[in-house]
Amino acid sequence: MLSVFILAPFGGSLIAIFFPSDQRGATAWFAGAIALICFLVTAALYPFVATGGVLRFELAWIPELGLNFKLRMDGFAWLFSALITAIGFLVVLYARYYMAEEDPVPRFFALFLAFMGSMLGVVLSGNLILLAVFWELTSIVSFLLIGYWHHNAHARDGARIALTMTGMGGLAMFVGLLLIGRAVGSYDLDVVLASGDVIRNDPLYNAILVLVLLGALTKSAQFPFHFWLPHAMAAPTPVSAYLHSATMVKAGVFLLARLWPVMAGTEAWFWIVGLAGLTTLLLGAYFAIFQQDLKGLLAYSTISHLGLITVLLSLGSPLAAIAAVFHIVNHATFKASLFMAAGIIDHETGTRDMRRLSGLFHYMPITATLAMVASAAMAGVPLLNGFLSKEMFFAEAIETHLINTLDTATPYVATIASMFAVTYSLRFIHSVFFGPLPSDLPKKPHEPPRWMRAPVDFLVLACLVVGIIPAQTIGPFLHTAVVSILREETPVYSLAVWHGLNIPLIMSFVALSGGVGLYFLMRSYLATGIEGPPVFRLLEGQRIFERVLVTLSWKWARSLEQSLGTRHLQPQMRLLVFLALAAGALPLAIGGFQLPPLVIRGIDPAFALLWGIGIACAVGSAFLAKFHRLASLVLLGGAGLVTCLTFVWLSAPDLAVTQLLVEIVTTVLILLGLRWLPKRIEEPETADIPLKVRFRRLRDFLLAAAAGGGVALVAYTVMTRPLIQETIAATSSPGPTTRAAARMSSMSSWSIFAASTRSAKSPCSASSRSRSLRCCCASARTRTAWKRRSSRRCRRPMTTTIPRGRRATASPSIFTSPR
Amino acid sequence: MELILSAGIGALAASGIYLLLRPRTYQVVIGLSLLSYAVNLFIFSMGRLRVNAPPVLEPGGVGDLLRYTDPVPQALVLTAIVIGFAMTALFLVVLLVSRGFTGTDHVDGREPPRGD
Repeated sequence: MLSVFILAPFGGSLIAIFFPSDQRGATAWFAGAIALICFLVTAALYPFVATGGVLRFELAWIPELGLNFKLRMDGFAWLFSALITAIGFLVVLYARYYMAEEDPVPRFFALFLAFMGSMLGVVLSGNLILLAVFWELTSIVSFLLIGYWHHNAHARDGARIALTMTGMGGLAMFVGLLLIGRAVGSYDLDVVLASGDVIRNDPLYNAILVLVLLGALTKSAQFPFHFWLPHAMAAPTPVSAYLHSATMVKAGVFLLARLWPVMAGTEAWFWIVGLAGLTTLLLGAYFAIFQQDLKGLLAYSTISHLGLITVLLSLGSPLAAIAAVFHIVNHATFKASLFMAAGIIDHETGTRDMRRLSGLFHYMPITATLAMVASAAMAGVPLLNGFLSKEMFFAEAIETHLINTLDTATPYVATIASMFAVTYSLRFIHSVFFGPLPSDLPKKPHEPPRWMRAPVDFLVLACLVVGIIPAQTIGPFLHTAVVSILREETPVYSLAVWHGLNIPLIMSFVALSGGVGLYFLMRSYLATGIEGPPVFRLLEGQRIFERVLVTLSWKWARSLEQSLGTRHLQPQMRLLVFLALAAGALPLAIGGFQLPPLVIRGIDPAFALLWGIGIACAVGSAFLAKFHRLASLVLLGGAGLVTCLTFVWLSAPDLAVTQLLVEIVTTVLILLGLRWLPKRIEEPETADIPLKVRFRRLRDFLLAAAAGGGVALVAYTVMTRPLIQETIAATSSPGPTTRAAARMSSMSSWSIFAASTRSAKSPCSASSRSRSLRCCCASARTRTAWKRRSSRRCRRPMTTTIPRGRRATASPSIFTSPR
Repeated sequence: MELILSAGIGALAASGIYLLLRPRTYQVVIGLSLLSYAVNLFIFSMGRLRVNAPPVLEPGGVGDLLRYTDPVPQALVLTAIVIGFAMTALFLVVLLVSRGFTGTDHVDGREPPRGD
């Protein structure tokens, strides 16, 4: 059943791309139907999830590594799926009217569905690796969506910045998740969620925390990574409405909430998450006041609200987590409706600049009313949903969680930030819908088509209903979600509009009156029409980002190229050979190397003669290649024949046949090519060769001789060592199957190669001298395998050398269908 | 046996690398061929040298696996031989085209200021 959530959007995306580009309606209906189906499936699953059940779907993915394609839906994932699919459906409906005739609509809807699928994948992943995969998919698809109007330079820039930021964060998060998997011993989300103490007590906890938070905070556009979000506003408005209300940016807080039970509650968590959240909350709200672009205002307000959710999650108290989940839902509803309203205004008037817009209430009274209700919810006006979660936030802010300055500052910062929120909400309404009638709009404004407004209607209605009777509407769903995060820690809480006259209510009152007052104080300044907040305007995130990027990818690269680069092949080849030689010699120099005993006896004279000829051929070919090409070619053929005979000698007839055929064809080919090469006549070799040339030849000769000698030494060392396969097979009683033997021998060749560099006297003693090769990371895995075998023979338990991640990989792949 | 083969591998590798560092394209092509012999023999020797061991399992019984040759290095070398041939052919064509376009057989596509 859960696989529908992945199959339907991605399958739909593949189909949608093939719709003809003039079929706007049909494509939209198709995409809408997919979103609706997903939503209906979500709704149908509710009864099961509500009773505390967890749906699972499992498919073998890479069973050798213990990785399964596992989807998992608990209450929290259900709530998110419902949000994603419901708002997805509404946005599709809206986009049907928003997109212009000339836009390539199939591409839009295909990307949209793909994005929905990856977002559903993020929330439903039952496995950390899968989560990281879908996480990166959202980054990539959002890049394509933000850059949808790729003829627009702003859209391209915005898409690039968003991808760079979220992509880098995603990579950091991936490493963090791998570390979690290593600490816990499994990537399965069920196991991870049940082992919070293991993670919190892991020696690498701080590293895990920082890496995972990098992913979550970049995705959620938290300070100091917030600047990609305003630039992403160059996307079509339906994309903004979807990505920045219910999905993309919510993925970050989703991850924070998902890992909240296992990672929160420590001081490091409180400081990092809390500081980022509070700064974002305050700065986002402050910046939002000074935007002139409608969507810019909404973007900064989104950043600020995400900061609020982050702060709530940082506090580490169950009540705060409930408030966070509640605010996630509320923010998604009112912010999606506000983005759609801003899109309607843009669509019907041709501009989003608040300096040009005014008095629109006269032309579009219904849209204006809807927008007013939604922004009142954003400001936290009573009887609307935003008020409820904000009250809960205030109530948590005044509680003392940890005794430090940050905790003390929280209520003040919260009040000031929500004062700013009131100010920018008021500005949004007042400057757009009131004031004198507009004079220089590109289009004559009017109400939008009925169905374009319908999604806004619905969302605003939801804001109102939830705001007035929360316990009867959102209550049970919220409870389901919260129980799945907090489990038995779930405290008693009540969703009600009126909690009596208490401190949070007073804080709300202060924020409301202060915000209104602030707006009227600042009106004259805002009317001057300067874009961006004072002082901070100069310190623009994008410029810093560009500067860093240019320095890294252009200036440094250029200076590196100037110092190291050359247009000649030979120095590069020389460097390459030298580096390869150094890389080969380094482990031997560090790990110690003992020359193998020289075995002279048992040499077949015929074989020695054969290779005497072979070596002569090779060296001769090398020295004649410049002036006597044909002779060199013949000698090359001679060396090839010796190789071929060696294969025959050493029981590899198939190789010999192949080598012989290839040899013949190569010789014929080169012979054909010979006649086009320029003539080169050997000059009488005298002493007038320049010293420089002599030196160069000598250097190349020494380099080649060193490399050849090294290869010979390594080859000899390996060959004189016994194959482990033989010793294993000798001890294990029944003959192993062919496949196992083949696999074993392939591994053993390499483990011998790794082991040969450390001069082990006997396999048993090797396990004690583990230090010698630690630097040689490439052989780490083979070394483990080798040790395991040698320990088996020594009858000494060596469990500590087996990576912990391997231990839990034995679970068989099973298909678990829900019910 | 091992001593001779490793000496041979070393000589092949040294000649190949020396030629790789030379300035004429023909030398580089020959050098690559020599180097690929060395590498193939090196990989092959990882399975240890076996004289008179059957390379193919007989139908019927598995028997003692220790009497057979190691198939994995052989399989790798089989691939490597073919790839090496393809590479030689490709470089030969590049060599000829480069000669046609630039009029010289120097690896940089133009003659150095002073002769080497």
